[in-house]
Amino acid sequence: MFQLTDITKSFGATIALNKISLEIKQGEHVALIGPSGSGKTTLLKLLNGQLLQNSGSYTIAESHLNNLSNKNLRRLRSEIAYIPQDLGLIPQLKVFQNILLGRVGKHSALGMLSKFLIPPRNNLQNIFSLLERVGIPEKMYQHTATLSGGQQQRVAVARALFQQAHSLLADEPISAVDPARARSLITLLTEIATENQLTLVMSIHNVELAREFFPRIVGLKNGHILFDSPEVSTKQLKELYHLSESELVEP
Amino acid sequence: MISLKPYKGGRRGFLLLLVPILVFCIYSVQLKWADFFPQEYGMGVIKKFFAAALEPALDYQDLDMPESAPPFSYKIGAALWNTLQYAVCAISLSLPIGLLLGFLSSKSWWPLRSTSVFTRLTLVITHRIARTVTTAGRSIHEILWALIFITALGTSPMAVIVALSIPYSCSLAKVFSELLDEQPTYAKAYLHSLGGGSFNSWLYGIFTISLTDIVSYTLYRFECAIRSAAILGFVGIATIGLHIETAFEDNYYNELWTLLYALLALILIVERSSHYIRKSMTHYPSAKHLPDDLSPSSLRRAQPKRWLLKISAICAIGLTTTSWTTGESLFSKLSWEQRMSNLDRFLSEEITPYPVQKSGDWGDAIPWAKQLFLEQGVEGSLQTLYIGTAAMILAFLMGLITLPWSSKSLNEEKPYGIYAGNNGILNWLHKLISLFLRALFILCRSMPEFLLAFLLLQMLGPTAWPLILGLAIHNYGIIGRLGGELADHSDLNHTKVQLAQGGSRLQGYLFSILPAYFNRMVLYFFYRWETCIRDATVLGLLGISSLGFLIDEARARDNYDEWLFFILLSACIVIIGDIVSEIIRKKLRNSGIQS
Repeated sequence: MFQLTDITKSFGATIALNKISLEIKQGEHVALIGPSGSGKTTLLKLLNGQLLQNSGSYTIAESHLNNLSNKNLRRLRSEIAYIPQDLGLIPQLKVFQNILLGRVGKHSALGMLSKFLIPPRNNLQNIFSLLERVGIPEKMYQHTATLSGGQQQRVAVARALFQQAHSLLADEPISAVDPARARSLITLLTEIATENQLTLVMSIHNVELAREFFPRIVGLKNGHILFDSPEVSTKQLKELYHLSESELVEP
Repeated sequence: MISLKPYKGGRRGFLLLLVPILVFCIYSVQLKWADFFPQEYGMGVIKKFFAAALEPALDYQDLDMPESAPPFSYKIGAALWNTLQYAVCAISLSLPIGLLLGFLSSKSWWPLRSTSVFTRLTLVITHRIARTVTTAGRSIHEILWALIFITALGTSPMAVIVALSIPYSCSLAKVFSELLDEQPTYAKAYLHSLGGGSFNSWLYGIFTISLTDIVSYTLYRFECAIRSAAILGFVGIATIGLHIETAFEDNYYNELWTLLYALLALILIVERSSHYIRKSMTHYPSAKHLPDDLSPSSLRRAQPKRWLLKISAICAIGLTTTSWTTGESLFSKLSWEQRMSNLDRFLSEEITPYPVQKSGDWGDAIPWAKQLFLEQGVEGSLQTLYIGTAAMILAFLMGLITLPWSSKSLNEEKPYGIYAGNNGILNWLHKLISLFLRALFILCRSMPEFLLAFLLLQMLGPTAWPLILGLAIHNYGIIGRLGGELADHSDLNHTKVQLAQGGSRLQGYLFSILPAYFNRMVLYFFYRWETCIRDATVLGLLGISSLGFLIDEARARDNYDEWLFFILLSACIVIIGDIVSEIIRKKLRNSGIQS
C-alpha cells in the first residue's frame, strides 16, 4: 500500500525525515511512536501526499507521488482517511454536515453543494449508523461546537469511516483525553479498521496502548527509524526516549 | 543582565501625545474654547428645541395646512418607509456585489499548490484590480456619489440606490476579504488532505466559518445604510432627513422631535434585531428530550428549531421584495434619451476643466488644478483632517475614561464572578450607571453624525465645533461598544486575580483590562479614525469651511469642473487616511495582539 524508499524530507535547515525506508501492506496496523519532534506528523502527512519528499521514492497504491497530476492526487487522497491532531472539524457546522464532508474529494463543487444542502436519505442513514457505531447517534443534528472533546474525536472517526477509504491515518488522536477514553477510542479505531480491512497508521504517545493494540510498532527518533518490530524491548524504549544532556533540565 | 529601568511606557506616550494633537487640531481649525458654549441666539434655540422634546407633535404644526394634505401620521410613515426602502434596496444590491468583490480581493481561495505561472499571474492581477476598485469605491462618500449621479443622470430613485450601493459594496467587500483572509486555515487544509478541490476546500473550510461574521457585518452595514439614506434627505432626496431639515428651518420643533423619535425608533429596532440575530447565530440549542426510537428523522424532528433565524430570513426576503416593487417607480420619468443627453453634457462639457473647455488642450488643466489645489484645496483638506482627527481623539479619550463604569462584567454585583462584599445600594448604583452608559452608547451610535452636526450647528452657531462634536458623539457610541465587548467577552484571569487580591473595580480596569487590551483599543482608534476622515469630507456640506464646503460652493456656482476636482481631492484624502491607518494597524497586529 505505502512504499517509502530512502525518503528525506527537510524544512529549511531542519531535517524532519532522514533516509527512511518503510513498507506498509494493505490491512496492516502500524503504530508510530517517538518523542516530540521525531518526525511522526511529517511521516503521516507524507503518507497522505500532503508533502512531497526532497529525495527518495514514495509510491502509494503503486503510483509515484511525484508523477501524479492534481486530479489523480485528489482521487488518491480521497481513498486515504486522515485524522489530524486538531481533528479538522468545522465547529459551526452540524455533526452530520461535518461527516458529509468526509467525501469532499469524491465530488465536484456542484455535486458536493447539492449533497451538503439537500443530503440524500441514504447518506443520512449511513451517517446515523456510523454515529451509532462510534456511540453518539443522538448528536447527529447538533452543532459540532457544542460537543465535548471526546465526542468530537468520535465525530472525526465517523467522518473518516464515511469517506470509505482503504487506509486510515491518525495523528495522535488520543492526546487530549483521559486514559479511559483513550483506551476506548483506540479499541474503537482498531476494531473498525479490522472490520473494514483498513490499513491503519497511527502516531501515539502512549507506549503501553501501542504495545497492547498494534502488531507492528515503528520507533522514530530525529527523523530516523530506530526500530520496526512487533515487540518493543525496554532497552529500545530507553534509547528512543533518552534525553540528551542539553534536553535534561537541571534539578 | 536584567534591566532595572522601568518599561518604555509606549502606552502612556501614545495617550499623552493625543492631547497635544487634539489641541493642535482645534487651534488649527481656528476654534476658540469660547465657541464651545452657545451664544444668546443659540441658547434660545436650545431652550425651544429641548422644550419640544417632551411634546412631539401628533399633527401638523402649520395651521395653514390645506385640507387635502395627507394625515400627519401618514407623512411620518411615508418618510420612514422611503428611508427604509432606500436602505433595503441599497444593501440588497450591495451584498452580491460585495461578496463577489470580497471573494476576488481575498487570497483565501487561492490554490495551495503552486500552479502554472499564467494562473498565478491571472490571480495576482485579478486581486490587484479588485482591491483597487474596492478602495476607489469606498473613498468617495455616499452623499457625494449621490450628488454625482443626480448631476450626471438627473434625479431618480435608482440613481440614489446605485449611489448608495457603490461605497457600500466596496465597504462590504473590504471587510469580507479581511474576514476570509483572517480565518484559521486548518479546516481548509484538512479538506485538501481528503482530496477536496480548491473551491470546495475554501467553501466549507473557510467560507462556512466566516458566514456568521459576514451576516453580522452585513446587518451592521444595513443599520448604517438607514442612517445614510436618512441623511440623503439633506441633499434633496425624499427621505426623513429632508423633513427634518425643513422642520428645523420652519421652527416646527415639535414636528422635528416626532421625526427624530421615529428615525431613532427605526434604527433602534434594526439595531436590537441585529443584536438578537447575531446572538442566535452563535447560540446552538440542543434537544431537551431525545426521542424513544432513535433515527435520523426522529432526531431531526427533536432538534429545537431556530425560529428567530428562520423568521428573520423570511422578513429579509419579504422586505427586499416589497422595497424593490412598491412605491413610485424606481426609474425616473425622464426618458432614456434625456438621461443619456444629461450624461453626455455632464461628461463632455460640465466636468471638463474650464480652461480646457476654452482651448481644447488638456495641458491647460494642469495649471488650473495646481491653482485650485494650492489656493483652496490644501486648506480645505487640512481642515477636514483636523476635524476628523479631533473628533476621533475626543471620542477615544471619552471612551477610555467611561469604560470602567460602562463595562457590564466589571459592574456586576460580583465583578467577573468574584464576590465584592455586601455593599447594598452601591452595587445597584454600579449596575445602574453601567446600564445608563450602555444605553447612551446605543443612542450615540444610532444617530447619524451628519444629523448630529446639523442639529448642533443650529445651537452652537457656524464654527467647526458642531462638526467635531457630531462626529465625536457618534464615534463615542461605537468606541464604547467595542471597548465594552473587549472587557466583557474575554476571560481575563489577571483581572480576577487582582480583584481577589483586594483590588477595586477601577484598579482591575487600570492595571489589568487596560494594559491587556490597550493595543486593541488603539487598533479600533485607527479603524474609526479613517472613517472619521471619510465622514469629515462631507460634513462641510453643512456650510463650515472644509472640503465638503468647497464641494458645495462649487456646485452652487455651477462650476462642475471645480466641484468634481474637490470630490476627487476628498477621495485622495480618504485613500491616504486608509493607507496610513492600514500601515499602523498592520504594525500593531504584528506587534503581538491576540486576535
